Amino acid sequence: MNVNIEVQVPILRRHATFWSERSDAVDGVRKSIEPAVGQGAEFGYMAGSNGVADMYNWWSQAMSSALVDAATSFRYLDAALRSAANFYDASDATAAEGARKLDRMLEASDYKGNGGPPPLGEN
Amino acid sequence: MADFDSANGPQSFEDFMKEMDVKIEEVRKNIADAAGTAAEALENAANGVIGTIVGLLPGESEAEKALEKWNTEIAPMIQRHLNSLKGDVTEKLVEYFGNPKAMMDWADEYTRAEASLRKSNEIEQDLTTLGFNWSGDAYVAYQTVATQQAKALDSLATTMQDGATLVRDGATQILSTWVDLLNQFVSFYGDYVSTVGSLADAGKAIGFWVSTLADMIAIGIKGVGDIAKTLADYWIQQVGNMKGSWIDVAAGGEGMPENQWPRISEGLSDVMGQSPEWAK
Repeated sequence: MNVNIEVQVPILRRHATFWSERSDAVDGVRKSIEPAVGQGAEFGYMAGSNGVADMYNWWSQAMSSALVDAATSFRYLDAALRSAANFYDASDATAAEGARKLDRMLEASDYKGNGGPPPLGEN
Repeated sequence: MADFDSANGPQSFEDFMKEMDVKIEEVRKNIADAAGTAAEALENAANGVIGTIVGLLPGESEAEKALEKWNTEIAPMIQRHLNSLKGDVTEKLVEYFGNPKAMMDWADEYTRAEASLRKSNEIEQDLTTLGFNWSGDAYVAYQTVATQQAKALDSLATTMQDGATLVRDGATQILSTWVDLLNQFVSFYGDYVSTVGSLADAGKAIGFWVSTLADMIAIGIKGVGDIAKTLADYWIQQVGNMKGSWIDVAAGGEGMPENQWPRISEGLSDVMGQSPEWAK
């Protein structure tokens, strides 16, 4: 296939920027919801005794964890796309991320996960 | 005093407790007033008997017997109720606890988060454009991952909004339950006050069973519990199994299973990481 590198590399870089910005955005969202995470007790005694507090705490923690994991994924995509763009245009070959280094971004980051299914059985 | 509604009702548990104090004092005053009126009537009747009827031994008239019963049985029972009413009711009010103001703030934050996540998700058109000329394995892997991640972002936004709705509705329910109790509380003790007032009649006082008063006090406490139960029922429903309930939302609704963010698989990341594979 005939690939127009000159046209495509800027698109790769734009995509990299897209994911970089998304990473910042989800980090911002995570920080903004943080005060609400795990505050099920504030729903009151009745909510607590009927399982709402546990459910809310699980859900809010899952939201926070998902945002952490989203940022991890987006940072990886940013790096992978920049690496490809650098490889093609050779404008800054030294900045290119090696495949092993990219792999490590996902391994070392340890996706946070949310600790399993919500506490349905307790209700 | 005019009824409370959602606009003029208490917005914090502390304010709710203050308003409840006012209501409890209103009930205590109603009981004390009724008791004072009844006692005065019985005393007047007894004094009248002593002053006008000749030939009866002291304490033999119906009015005097009624006053005696009032002083030895009924009035002490009413006094005990007046003393314990505030403590008994306040003890039940823990069931009404909640922090609706904070909950409203959190719901707003989740709603803002939803808007922010949706705004973050405008990659699809660019993916198509990128695909016009790229077709290598790395591009295919990227397209797969990017589509999955964008979809997850959308799902997360939806779940965030569903949670915001539940939190906001819960806060509204707490406020509305507070208003219900404040508006109804005095009426729970209406029969008690009427009954005490009716004891101004010596005949009624003599035949009165004081345990009836204890039963009526229990009815008042039950009324407090019944309204608290409406709040409990609401939470049970909110946890429920239906769409949009906490069980549904916590399980991810129609979005990410259990709200677990999709990881980028090692296989796809390996392909994306091989730069020459972007263009075959």
